[in-house]
Amino acid sequence: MDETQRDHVVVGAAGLQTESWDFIRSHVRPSDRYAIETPDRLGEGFHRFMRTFAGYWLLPAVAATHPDDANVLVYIDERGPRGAVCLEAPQLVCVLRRS
Amino acid sequence: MSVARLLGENALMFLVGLGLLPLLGVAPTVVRLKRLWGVAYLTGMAVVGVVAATLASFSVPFPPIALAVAAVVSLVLGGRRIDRGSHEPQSVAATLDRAVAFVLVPTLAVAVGGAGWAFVSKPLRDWDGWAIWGLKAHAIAALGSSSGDVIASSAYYFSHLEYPLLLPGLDALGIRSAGGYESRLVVMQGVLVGFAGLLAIWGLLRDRVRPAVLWPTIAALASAPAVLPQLASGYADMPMAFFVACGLLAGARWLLEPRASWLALTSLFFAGAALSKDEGDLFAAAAYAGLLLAARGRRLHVLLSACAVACALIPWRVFIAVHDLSTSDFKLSKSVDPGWVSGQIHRAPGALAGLARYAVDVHLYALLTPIGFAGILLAIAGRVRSLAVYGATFAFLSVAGLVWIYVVSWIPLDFYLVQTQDRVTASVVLGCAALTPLVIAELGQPARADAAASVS
Repeated sequence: MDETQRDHVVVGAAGLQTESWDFIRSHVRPSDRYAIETPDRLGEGFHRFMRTFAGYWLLPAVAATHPDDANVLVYIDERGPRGAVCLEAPQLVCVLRRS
Repeated sequence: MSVARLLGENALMFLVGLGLLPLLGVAPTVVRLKRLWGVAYLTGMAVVGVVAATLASFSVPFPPIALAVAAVVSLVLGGRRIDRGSHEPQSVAATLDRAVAFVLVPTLAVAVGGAGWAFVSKPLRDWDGWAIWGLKAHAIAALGSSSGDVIASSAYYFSHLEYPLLLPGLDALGIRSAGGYESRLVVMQGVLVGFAGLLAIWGLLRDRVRPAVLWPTIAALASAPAVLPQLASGYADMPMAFFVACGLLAGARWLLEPRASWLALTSLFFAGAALSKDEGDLFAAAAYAGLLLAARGRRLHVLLSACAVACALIPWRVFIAVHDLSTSDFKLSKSVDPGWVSGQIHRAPGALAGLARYAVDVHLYALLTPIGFAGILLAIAGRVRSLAVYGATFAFLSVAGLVWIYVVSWIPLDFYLVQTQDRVTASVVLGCAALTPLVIAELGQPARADAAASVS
C-alpha cells in the first residue's frame, strides 16, 4: 500500500468519496483559509462532520472560524456561486476561490 | 525512509533517557545503569514529550535537530555524573537474570518488532485517530509557530482541542524528521510508546523480581489482545496506560527503597500520562493518593513529587484557559450541583458494570485484570501493607473517577459506554497487572517493605 492508498483509507473509513475529497484538496492551497458550506436541509450534524473531516484532510490549509474570513469556500452537496469549480459526481462538490 | 527517520528520532529519545538516568540519580553508577537501561527509552520519551507539549502550548516549534542536541547534552552531563568506579558483587540470581535477559530481551524485541512491522503500512482509520490525534500532530508539524490556528481555533471545536499535546508533539518530531505527514507515522509512534513502556516495566522490575515471575507478566502485557491494536489505532489511551503503569511502578519502587530518584521518575512518568490525555490527571491523582496513604512519614516528598507533575501541566492548563477550551462531553463542575448529580446518579451502576465487563473481557485484556486483582489481594493477604494500600487506593480511585465521569456527563450512558468502555480502563488494568510481580517478590519480606515505606 503506497501513501496515496493509505491516505484514501481514512476517506473510505469515514464513509466519504475519495474522488470528491481529492478534488477539494487539489483546489485548496496549503496557505489558504477555507470554510465549509453545506445545505441547511442536511442539518447541523452533517455540517459538523464535513468540517471535522475537512479539518484533517485539508491541512496545512487552515479552517477559518467564520466564512467571511476565508479566502476559499468549499461547498459540499450544493452548487457554489458563479466562479466556483465543481465536480458533479460521485458527489457534488464545489470550490470557490475569492480574489 | 520515513519510518527509518522516525526510528532515528526514537533512538535519540532513548539516548536522552540514558543520559538522564544518572542525572536524576536513578542510576548513579555504571552497574545500576546496566540494570536499569530498559527504563531509558520511556524516560527519554516522557522528557521529550513534556518539552514538545510545552513548546506546542506556546506555539514554539521543536526542530528535530534540537532533539539531537538534547541527546548529546544529556549523554555528556550524564557521563560526567555517573560513577564508573563502584562495583557490586554479582549474585548467582543476578547472573541468571542476565543470562535469561540476554536471550529474552532480543526475543521480545524481535516479537514486538515483528508485530510492529505489521503496522508499518497501517494508516489511521479510526475516528479519534485522525480527527483528534492525527490532526494535532499534522498541525504542529506543518504549521509550527502557527499551530495555534488549529489547536486553539473554534473552527476545530469537534476535535477535542482540550486534549493535551504530548503524543502529537512526539508524532510531530517524527513527521518533521520524515519531511512530511504520513498517517502511518502516528500509528508507528503509538506502537513505539508501547514498546518503550514494556521495556521500562522490565527495567523497573528486573532487579527485584525473579525472571520466572517477571517474564510471564511481560508476555501477558505484550500479548493481551487489546494492547497492540489500541497502540496502533492512533488513540492516546493505551500509550497513556504505559506511562501510568511505569509511574505506578516507579512509585512502588520508592515505597520499597526510600530514594528520591524513584520519586523523580514517578513524577516524570505521571507528567507524561497527564499530558497524554485528560484522564491522565485522574490516574496520577489516584496514584499519589495511594502514595500519601502508604508512605507514612514521607508524605512531604509525595506532595513535592505531585507538585512537579502539576507544574508540568501548568503551560497546557494556561493554554486551555486562555483559549477557553473545554470538553464537550462533561463538566466536572456539575459534580457540585446537587440537582444535576441526584438526577444522574442512577447511571453509576450501569457505568461500573460496563467498565467491569470490558476490563475482564479475555478478548481485550486476556488475564491482565485477574493478574492485577490477584496482586492486590496477595498484597493484602501477605501483609505487604505499603503495596496493598498503594495498589488498592490507585485502583479504587481510578475506577471511581471513571464512573463519576459517566455519571456527570450529559451524553446518553449507553452511547458513551459503547464509544469508550473498551479503552478507558487500560491504565488501571495495565497498572495493577504491572504491580503484581513486585508484590510477589515482596511476599517473603513484608517487614522489609513496610519498614522502608515508613522511613521518616
